[in-house]
Amino acid sequence: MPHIHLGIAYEGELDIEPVQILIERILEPLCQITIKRKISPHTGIIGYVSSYTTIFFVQDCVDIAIYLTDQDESSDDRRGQVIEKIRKVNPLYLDFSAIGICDPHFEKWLIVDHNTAKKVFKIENHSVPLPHNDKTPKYQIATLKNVMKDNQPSLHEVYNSLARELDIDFVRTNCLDFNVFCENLIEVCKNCLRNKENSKHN
Amino acid sequence: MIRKITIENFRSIKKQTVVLNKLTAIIGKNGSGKSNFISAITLFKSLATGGDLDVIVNSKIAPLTAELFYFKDHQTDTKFEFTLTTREGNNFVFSYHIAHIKIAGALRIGIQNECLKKVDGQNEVIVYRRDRESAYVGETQNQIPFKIEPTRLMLSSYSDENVIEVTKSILTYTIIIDTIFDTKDGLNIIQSNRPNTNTIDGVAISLLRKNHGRFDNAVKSIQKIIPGFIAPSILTIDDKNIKGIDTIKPQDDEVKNYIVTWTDTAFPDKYSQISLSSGDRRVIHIIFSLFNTDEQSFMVIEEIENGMHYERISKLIDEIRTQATNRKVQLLFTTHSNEILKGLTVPEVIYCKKDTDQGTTLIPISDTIEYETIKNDLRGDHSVADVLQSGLF
Repeated sequence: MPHIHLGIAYEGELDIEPVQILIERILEPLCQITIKRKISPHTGIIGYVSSYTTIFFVQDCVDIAIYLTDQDESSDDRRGQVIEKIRKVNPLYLDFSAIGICDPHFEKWLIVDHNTAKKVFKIENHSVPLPHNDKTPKYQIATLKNVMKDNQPSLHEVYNSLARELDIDFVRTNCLDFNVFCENLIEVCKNCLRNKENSKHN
Repeated sequence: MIRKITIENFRSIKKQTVVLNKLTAIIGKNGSGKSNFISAITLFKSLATGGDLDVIVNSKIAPLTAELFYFKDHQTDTKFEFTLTTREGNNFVFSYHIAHIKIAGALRIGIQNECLKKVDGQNEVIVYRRDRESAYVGETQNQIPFKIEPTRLMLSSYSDENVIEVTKSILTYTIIIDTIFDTKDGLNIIQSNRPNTNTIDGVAISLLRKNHGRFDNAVKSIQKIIPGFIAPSILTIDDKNIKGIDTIKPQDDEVKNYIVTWTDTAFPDKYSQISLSSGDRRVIHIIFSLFNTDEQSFMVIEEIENGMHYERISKLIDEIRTQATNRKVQLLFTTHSNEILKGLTVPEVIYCKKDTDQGTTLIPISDTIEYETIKNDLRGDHSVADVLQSGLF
């Protein structure tokens, strides 16, 4: 099994482990991964993308850089902004960069699969739809966790369980931005593996 | 002023040199080795002023075991070295050979021998050396008894100007780790000849005996951080008569007993230090110590922000920077506080991290590749907090 080194820029302290779990699961059929650097700013990543790109590719020599940012219900073209900042450092790096724009937040990816969510939150009656309110997915996860009666896990554990157990295909089908990210990541990974293969032969 | 400190073989520190500014902050994640650096300074100061290894370590750092030093792969001995580089660029290497040795018939960790070298390029001059049986001083190597000549006295007897400079640096260290209580029942009677400056009562008495004006200035300084702070009442207990603050004469040789009481702004009564909040105690301790220490001395504070509200923290850093400059005191401290970092410039900060190969490393944040890269994304006059906002450290 080929092995690739990743750099990940993400938002939110709770995100990194579930992000890592999801990436491992998405790339599982293609390769094994090692994360060389993970960076979370205390704000959105957009302002730092060019610096991160330099650090990932020049300092750390990663095979693939992954940038995950929340859309935050903003009308900005976040994907376009990230692409532009990577291009400014070196347009070649775009072939080895995967971009995830979570709309509105990363937590939506974790909660789209209601069946898994019911299992994680121990909602026994599966015919009952998952409690829903007008709040953000982040708030919804926290609320569902807080109403759990016995042996309540930490939020951290909840995020990890959701990432481990969600049905990837279901989420791809029902969440457009997750599917875009998966396609981008798989394509970039294939690029990288092709590149490695070519350099072996050369 | 101390320009550089090098520490070798102490806990997670294999060998690290830190270049010091007038104000230097060490930042880094939990477990990176910041406290080890401070503990090494504490140990060195205590050893160099005549303390016994086991007493110092057991009382101030941790139980004395081989883990305290960087013993490599099953070695039975190691060398704890502490190098001070003065402003003139003179290197003074204090070297302590730590080994398992027989003390009172039992095998324990102790100092086999120690020496102070002045290193100038390739030239090394032994200033003094002592080992467990005897001690030698100066170039003539006159033997002097081991027990009655702690390092401090040896250094004092060596009249070289540089040695006087380094001796002064060592003797004027003030280290604040955490405020302690040396009483079990609140009010404590403190003897004037040995006030414990690790307590706020002790440092208040020490300062008052040094200089009433400085004491008043320290109180004003605290009032900028704690509005409404009221100076402590210090009373002299003399043959059952209790006298007021005016009777305390600076540099009085006569041994006297004192009691100190404090006032909480919300309550009219006077209390012992125990009733103050930990945040108030911390500010009082730091500011009184800053005024109590001699000019041109060196002050080390671990986790400066401990117990404080964030609004107070930014006032504290502003005030200690001002007063340290006024009093020509060099400051070194560790911090995790974003509020502190907002008040610091990049050249003032050392980044501490630990990796499996090198142990703890301490490097100016401005020398890191991460900073070189990120500074293009930052505004021109950024603070350290802005740099850390990037998440790269």
